[in-house]
Amino acid sequence: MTDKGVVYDLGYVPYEGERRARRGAIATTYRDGIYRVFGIRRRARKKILPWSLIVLAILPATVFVGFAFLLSTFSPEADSPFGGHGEYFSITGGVVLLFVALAGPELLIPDRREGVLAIYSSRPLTPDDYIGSRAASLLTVVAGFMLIPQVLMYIGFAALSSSGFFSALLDNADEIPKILAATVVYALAMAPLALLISTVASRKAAATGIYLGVLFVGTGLAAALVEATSVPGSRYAALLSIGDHPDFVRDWIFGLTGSSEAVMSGAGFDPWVSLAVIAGVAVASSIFVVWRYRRLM
Amino acid sequence: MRAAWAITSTTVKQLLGVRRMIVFGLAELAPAGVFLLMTQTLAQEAALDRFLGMVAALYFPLLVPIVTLIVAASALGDERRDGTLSFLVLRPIPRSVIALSKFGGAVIVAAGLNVFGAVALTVVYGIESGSWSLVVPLAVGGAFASIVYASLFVPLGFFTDRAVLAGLAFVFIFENAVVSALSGLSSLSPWRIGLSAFAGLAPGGVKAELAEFGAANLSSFGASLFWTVLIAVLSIGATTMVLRRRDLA
Amino acid sequence: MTTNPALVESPTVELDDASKWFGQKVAVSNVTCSFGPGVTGLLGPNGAGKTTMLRMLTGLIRPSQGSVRVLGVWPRISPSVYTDVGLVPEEAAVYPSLTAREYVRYAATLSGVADVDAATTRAIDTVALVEPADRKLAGYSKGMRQRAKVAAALVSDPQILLLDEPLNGTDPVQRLHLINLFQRLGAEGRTVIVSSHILDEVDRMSDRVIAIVDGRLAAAGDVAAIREAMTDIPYRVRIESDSTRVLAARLLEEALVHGVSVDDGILHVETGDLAALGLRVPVVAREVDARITSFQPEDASLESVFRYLVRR
Repeated sequence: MTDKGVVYDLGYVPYEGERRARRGAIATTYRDGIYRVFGIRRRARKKILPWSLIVLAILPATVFVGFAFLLSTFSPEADSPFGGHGEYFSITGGVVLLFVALAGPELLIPDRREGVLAIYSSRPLTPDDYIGSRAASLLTVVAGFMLIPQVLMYIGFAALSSSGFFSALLDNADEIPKILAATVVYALAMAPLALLISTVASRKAAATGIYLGVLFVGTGLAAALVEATSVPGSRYAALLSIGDHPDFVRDWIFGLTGSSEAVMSGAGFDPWVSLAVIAGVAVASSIFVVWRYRRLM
Repeated sequence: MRAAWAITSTTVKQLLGVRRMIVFGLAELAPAGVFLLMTQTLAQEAALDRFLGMVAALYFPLLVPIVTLIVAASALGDERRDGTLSFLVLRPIPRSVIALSKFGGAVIVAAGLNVFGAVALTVVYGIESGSWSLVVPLAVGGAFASIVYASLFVPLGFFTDRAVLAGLAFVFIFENAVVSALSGLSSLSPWRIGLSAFAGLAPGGVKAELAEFGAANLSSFGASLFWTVLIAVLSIGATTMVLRRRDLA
Repeated sequence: MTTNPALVESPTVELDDASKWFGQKVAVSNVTCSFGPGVTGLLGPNGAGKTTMLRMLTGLIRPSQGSVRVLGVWPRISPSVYTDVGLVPEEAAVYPSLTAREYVRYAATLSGVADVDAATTRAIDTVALVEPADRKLAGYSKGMRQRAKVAAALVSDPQILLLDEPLNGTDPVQRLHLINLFQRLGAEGRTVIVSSHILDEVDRMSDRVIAIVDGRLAAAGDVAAIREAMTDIPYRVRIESDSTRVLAARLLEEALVHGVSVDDGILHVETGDLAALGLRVPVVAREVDARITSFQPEDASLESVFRYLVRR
């Protein structure tokens, strides 16, 4: 108190708790990203599409395992309508594609449109931290989508196995690294491209449409070029079948290349080329996204 | 009339910025470019076969829906989400005129782009085959499909910012999977309405050839026209009702 | 002749027992008031229901109960009345790809103005946006966007102007210009309703205020009359004098004085009748040979009135 002014204690209590600084800001941004894509802490309407897609990804595996439990004559290995772990990635891959088309724009575009990047910048969060957290959120969600039904199938198959649960778990343990590897491949194939397009597009609707357009139309055009012409070098058009590369690598991982329907297979490429394309696109997308956000924030 | 034209032209300007025009333009030219490469080594008889393959497997089921959905979902929905809807509705203009003008703007852009793609593809075919009889049919078919998709997704875009994703799920799951299996539902498939219009106007034999690409049970041109007009009228009516009855802020 | 200060003689805008609720939340509750020619300030704390009221008046939302009339009709079902209504919404939304001139011109065309070019030029002149008029709105500051929105609202020469926080983002010079503009429009006989938090500026431009608290009509009329109606809250007057304590002791004997306090040589007097006190204090001062150097009501301003209203 001075003779010119006084401040009264109105009961304000300053925060004395832990200050988590940069790590806390990164963790919060990461967690917020996951909440946002699933519509958690948001209106019910925001939850419909993401949770419907989750159900769509998990339901076939759940129903199948359920049937197998109920029907003793049902053999998982022999009677599975969608083959084994490798083939199930085709189902989850399609659903995850739609989910990433939804989630990628949701993670990046609203913050730019609503002008809140400055708020992130005013926290102990670098542009790399911000974009890294958002990318981690997306990769986590994609991995979850891919892994949960696979885990369900793995445990379900083991529980139904005639050799006993734990035996079956050990016998099929060689599937685990394959499942993990395929999950990483799909995540790297889908997520960085979605973030790249979401960095450039100003509207969520446009980003969703462009992402799916690049994947579907691009793959369709590549397939048309590869199959229908013998112009020298046309087989290299297969490299543009962005949506197809993870399927081809998955076939390689699970030893299904002999029956692979991937465009790259038809063009006579080896699976490692697809892996290289996936890695290349992921790296290039990441570099561009980081560069762009360093300029924006 | 002046107000309707002002809304339509402003909508077209909003929906078709320079960046979008380049991206969409390139996307629309892609099938023509691929077909041009394909025709370098094809026999002329095979050209029609490949052309119809591009039309039935790429142009109608993928390109037209994706382009139209992005455009249509933004036409009215972005006004609402950006907070500029009050600027439009607080004018001495009937709500039906606003709905019609917004729809018109979306159709002009979407159909314009898709017709551009159709013309490019058929011009390449025409240069290769010497036959120009498919230019108008494919342009009309593309326009019809654009109108039907716009009819569905202008109002849907008003309600949700996920209209594009919902629309694409509709296209990939319902139209491309379910209707392929249950061909009796083909009149509920916007792109098949467009494909029917194309087949109906194209010279004889095209319809039969299209069946080889999974496009069986196509209706007549008259039926396509009927469905297109009906769905458009219902859509404009529904949008008008929404603008009249719903709270707009 | 109306005796209810919430109602005016020749209303152009009327709310009759109007309520609006959104689920469980009641945003506006049983409001009956009217607006006429001149400038009326619509006051209330955040979340009081002012914007909801304006949206009901424009027909953007329908009242859950009661009625709203603008020039005798509800605009929602009679869009032709929008020729005479201009709204400057609180949201900063404009069309970023249009220039200010295109934006105002678009508004003029949609409003059915006969000579669109002349009306556009006039509206842009009025808000002093001539120089940047051909720049895209995306590059405008918040204050410039506000002026563009005001121009778009004025372009059709409306009889009724609804302004929701119109001074947001404006600098002092722009603010003064807009205040003068709104005063002039009110003086011309237009109905101008200004919703604002900047109380001293609303005080300056409004002839009358409507105060909303928690969705309910809390007060209506001119500021002095509202203050006078608050008979449960005595006026506080600040008096500076060369014989403060002597004057204080003497004033305590007066019936119209409810209480006195002396703080750091300044006398604070509470009374229920400000005008009577103003007449009595010089007489008392002469009796005790005190010299009055300052006599100031401390809580007759709009800000004080507003604070009391919110606290009730």
